[in-house]
Amino acid sequence: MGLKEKIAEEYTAQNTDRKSDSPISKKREEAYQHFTKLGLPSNRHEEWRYTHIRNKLPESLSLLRYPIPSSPTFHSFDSLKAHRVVLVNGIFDAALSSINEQKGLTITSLKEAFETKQEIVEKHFGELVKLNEEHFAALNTAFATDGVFIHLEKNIEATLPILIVNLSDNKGESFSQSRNLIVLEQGSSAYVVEDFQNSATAAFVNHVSEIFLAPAASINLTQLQTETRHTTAVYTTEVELLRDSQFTCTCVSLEGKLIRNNVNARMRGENAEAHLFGLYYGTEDSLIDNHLLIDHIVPNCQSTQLYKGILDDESTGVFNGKVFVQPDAQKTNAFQSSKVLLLSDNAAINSKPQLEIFADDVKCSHGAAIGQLNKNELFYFLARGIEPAQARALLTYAFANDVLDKIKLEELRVYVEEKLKSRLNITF
Amino acid sequence: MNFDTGILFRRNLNYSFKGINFAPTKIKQLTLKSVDSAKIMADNDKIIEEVTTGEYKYGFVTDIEQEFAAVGLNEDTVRFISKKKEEPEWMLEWRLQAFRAWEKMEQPQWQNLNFPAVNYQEIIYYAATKKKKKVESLDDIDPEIRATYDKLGIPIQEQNILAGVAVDYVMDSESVITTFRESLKEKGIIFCSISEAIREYPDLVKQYLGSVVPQRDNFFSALNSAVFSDGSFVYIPRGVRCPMELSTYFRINAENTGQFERTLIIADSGSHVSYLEGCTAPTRDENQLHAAVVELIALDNAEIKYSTVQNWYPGDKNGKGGVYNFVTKRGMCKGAHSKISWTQVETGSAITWKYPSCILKGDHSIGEFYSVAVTNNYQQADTGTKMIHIGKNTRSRIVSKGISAGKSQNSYRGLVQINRTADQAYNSSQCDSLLIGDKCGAHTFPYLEIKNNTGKVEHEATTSKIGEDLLFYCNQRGLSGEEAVNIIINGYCKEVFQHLPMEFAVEAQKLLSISLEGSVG
Repeated sequence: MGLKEKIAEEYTAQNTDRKSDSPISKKREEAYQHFTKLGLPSNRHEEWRYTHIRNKLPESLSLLRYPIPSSPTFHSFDSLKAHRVVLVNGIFDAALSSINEQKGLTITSLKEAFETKQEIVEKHFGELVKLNEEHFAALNTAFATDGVFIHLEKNIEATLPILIVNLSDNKGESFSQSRNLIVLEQGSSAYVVEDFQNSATAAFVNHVSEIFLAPAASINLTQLQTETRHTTAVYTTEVELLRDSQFTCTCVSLEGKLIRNNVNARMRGENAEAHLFGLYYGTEDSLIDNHLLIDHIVPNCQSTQLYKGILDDESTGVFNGKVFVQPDAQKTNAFQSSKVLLLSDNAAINSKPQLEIFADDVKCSHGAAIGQLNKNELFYFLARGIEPAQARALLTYAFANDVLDKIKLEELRVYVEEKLKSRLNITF
Repeated sequence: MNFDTGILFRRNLNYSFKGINFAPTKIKQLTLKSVDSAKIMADNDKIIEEVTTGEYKYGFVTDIEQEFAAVGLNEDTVRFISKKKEEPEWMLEWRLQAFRAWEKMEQPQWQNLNFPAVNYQEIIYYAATKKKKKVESLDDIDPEIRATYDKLGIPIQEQNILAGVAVDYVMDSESVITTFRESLKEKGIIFCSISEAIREYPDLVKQYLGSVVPQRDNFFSALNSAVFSDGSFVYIPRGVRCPMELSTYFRINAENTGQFERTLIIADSGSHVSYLEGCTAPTRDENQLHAAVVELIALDNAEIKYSTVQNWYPGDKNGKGGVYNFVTKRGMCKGAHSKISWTQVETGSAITWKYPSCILKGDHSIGEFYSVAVTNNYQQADTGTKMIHIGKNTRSRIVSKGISAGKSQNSYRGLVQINRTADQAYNSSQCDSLLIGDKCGAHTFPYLEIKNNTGKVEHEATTSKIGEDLLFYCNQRGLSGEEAVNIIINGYCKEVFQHLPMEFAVEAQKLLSISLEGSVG
């Protein structure tokens, strides 16, 4: 029995004890129908051309088993003053979470929100993901039962950052489906951190976040994949931007067996801005894949994509940055840059910066570069008595630094900087 | 820190027109504000309107008796063609192999193109002009054909005398005459139709035919391998520099005939050749298929320069008719220090789908690709290149300029692949798109696959429209709107045009004006 058949069996099993008439159930059913058509992607699928995920997923994976480890160990960012939400294998863990009260701000488990915030959830759940195109988002929509729900009322600014630790400890037996739903009403703003960690020797994760930005709302999202060794994961982030809203996303992937990040931002209101920054560092035989899409649907929006990759050992990087400018989206200003450092003979990068433009009065540019460290700069260090290995590490660190600079939360930035330094074996 | 890969991207996004060379003294910032800009804008709109409604100038049919193969494609068609061409047995076998492979293949769907399915059983696969009187001089050529070329504005005799160009006409796939053969023969250069080469030089053909584009490489190469009717064959011997530009004019003439030429160019060690290919086709309402295969082979220290001006019938203003141009062009830099350079100006065809590519196998070999692709009305183009780096110290350069007008779609699709073995490889790519009007589209699909950490790859792309400030600058100096657009576009394409041989560059500029006709030309 293949994984797809197993999924079919589990879906039937799950559905027997569910009300089928609610809008959420209908959405799940729709998602499942799409998934049965899509299946798991092979590398003949253009979006999965370089990422052979299908044969990396064992057939024995269960989507229903959610093992809860008795005392999970994880990095808890103690120095960070924040709302803390902890998901263990996709399930909200109340004991490990600590959420401060703030008027107009709701942070709860998605499971609870299905009951208590029914109206908002039903209006938004599954509305952004392209169920008919995205294999894993469809699978997630069909199966995910828990995750984090964040809602900010009109003109509320979340005073504390919201930290979501998504801990996997499924020991490679189950395929965790977690789901975040973030709804920011008009004029509200928040800083959200999605941190993914894995403490087991193998983990399989399929995560989806849907983010709705009402007019003039703004969100600063930091995604960390710094403790995700041995993880095979697909992380999908879907964002809808209405008028004057802002979305800033900084994604740092330092570890992972196979990491696929999908970040899709759709501009549906004028004067919106989306800025995507990313840093990925591959070592050993890891594969890190970043797929970005910015869809300019309306005029007068701005977007940035700035991604930097460092690839060492036998690692492989994939970058696909799409910018769509739809026929009416005049006065669009879109910029994209992808730079990659190849540090080893056996590292590889597959890069596809893609522009599709249907409007004439736009400014769009992209640049992609792949290369090595500057020999003159290396010499500068060597001439000052710094060992070659240290010199290379420092230069690599410097290369990464302008993405790390985008992390506005200082404690977090310092944490990532230290992490990278130790990964690069920088001793001073 | 400086990322050591040269300039990575442009901060100033309106750069696309840097190819325009105004005399430096004239470039001064204009500060005049009182000019009636509304009127200029209205004029510009008019220009764009006119530009995008221009019609094809080369629509006419030459009435010559033709000999056709039966409609449709099966093994008998392949046998018929092979027999007509008086081919040896091995060639027929080769064709049949290709045909059997083709039967199992499906037409690819991944392109960024929209067109109705082609019924391959409704095409006439062979149409040769009836003759067969040996032609010794240009005067012996059918006057109708002569008239055709006169209409194209190519006074062949004069051109031959003035430019020293040897022209191998292909009128509906059949080689009519090869001029200048004798002077080439003195140098040992073989320049003849491929059918003749199959008969006269089977060893060379056997060795190289299909070595760069195998029969089953893709759907259209398999089709071409099975049914190709004619094409050109060039062999430049060791150490010889071809004394003139070799040139072929292709032309689709009969109704509902597919054009399947096969070109094979071999540059032996230390030789040099420049080859020109130009096409125009008359007006037809039904879509015509054109599936050519071009193979180039450059041995040690050899250089091949291949230039194309493609102006097949693009269909009318409403997107009716036009040629489907599905071409496989590939060059192999087989020897060390060899060089292959593709230059193309694509203004015609309802659909253009081709990727002239270079396989850089020899160490220190160089691949180049310079392209201008213009689409207007309902034309669609999905074109670009592939640079496959295998040898050490290989270099490649890509310059692609797309211009979309009307309701057309123009895509650049390119692959830069640096294999593990290709130490110190270098690629630089630049793809710019220019949009004229708000109903067209420009797309960029660059694939960069890098497996060696000693290489450098740089890619940049920009998309923008003709700047109002540029138009204003020209208008203010007394150039009419159409002249202004013309000068701006020519400047934008200059980087590519300068790689064309002189006589071709003139024609290319003319074509560009005609393609974007209305007020531009």
